[in-house]
Amino acid sequence: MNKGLVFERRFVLVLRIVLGAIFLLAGGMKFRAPLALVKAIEAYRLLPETVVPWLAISLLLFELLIGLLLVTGWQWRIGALGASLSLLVFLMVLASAWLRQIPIECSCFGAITFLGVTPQAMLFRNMLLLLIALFCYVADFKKQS
Amino acid sequence: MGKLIRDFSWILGMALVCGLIGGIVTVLRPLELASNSRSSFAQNFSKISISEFQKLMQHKQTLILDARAHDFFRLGHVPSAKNVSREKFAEDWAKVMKQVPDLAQRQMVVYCSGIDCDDSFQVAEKLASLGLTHVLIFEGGWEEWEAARLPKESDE
Repeated sequence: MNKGLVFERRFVLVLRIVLGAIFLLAGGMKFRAPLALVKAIEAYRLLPETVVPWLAISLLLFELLIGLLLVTGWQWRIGALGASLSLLVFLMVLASAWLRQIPIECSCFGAITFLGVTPQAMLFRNMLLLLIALFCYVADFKKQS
Repeated sequence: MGKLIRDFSWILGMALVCGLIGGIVTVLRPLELASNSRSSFAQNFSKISISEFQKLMQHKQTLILDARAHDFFRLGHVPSAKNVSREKFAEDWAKVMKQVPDLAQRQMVVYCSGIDCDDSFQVAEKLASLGLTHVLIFEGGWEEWEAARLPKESDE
């Protein structure tokens, strides 16, 4: 097999496992304190309060599911696409909060601080993760085409 | 194109399943969710209202601590507050120790973003672990302070 192709596959493998582990960690931290996530979503002031608890639980389940797909490798391309879409939505929500000058706290990893907590750091972190997720998805999509 | 549609269908299916389970959990376990609302040590500290906070501010011995991240503090904070953020507690507290004498004797009031945030409780817990027990929480935080249009300071 072409050396370049082997390297690309290994690179994608490492990236998807790292991405999956990040999603599992984030989902796990939220699972331990789901109400912190409810309050974090409420702080964005985008949705009615009655919907937020349902959304919070659904989101954390979705996050854990994506993490599992990426780490185990089963249907991992779907996991990469799910990760890309969820990160894209979060990026838009984050940008809207920043534009509206709402003081928000991510609550993405519970008490763990991962690459900072400022709005700029959160935007940077999400763009980085989005690029990784998209790269993984596109690399596999191209391979399968 | 067909693959892309198939992938999106998978995502939609996953989202529907998660949404369905989320709905069932929200309906069946609302009380358990509520019990996680604050850090377990939140009950150890007394909470004060904005008017009590303003009264305490008149005493020179009161030390006001802002538990938010540095960037938010720089944008605006309660006058004379010191920034002791949750994530850089050790570093920030070391600075306060150099600036403020007789810390053990002082009444401290900690606040963060607002009623929804937990950082003030976490900072208060860290202070308590250092033996500083005169710590109160202004739970309304910066949001309530700003909403009341009270004076503020910024470092910009």
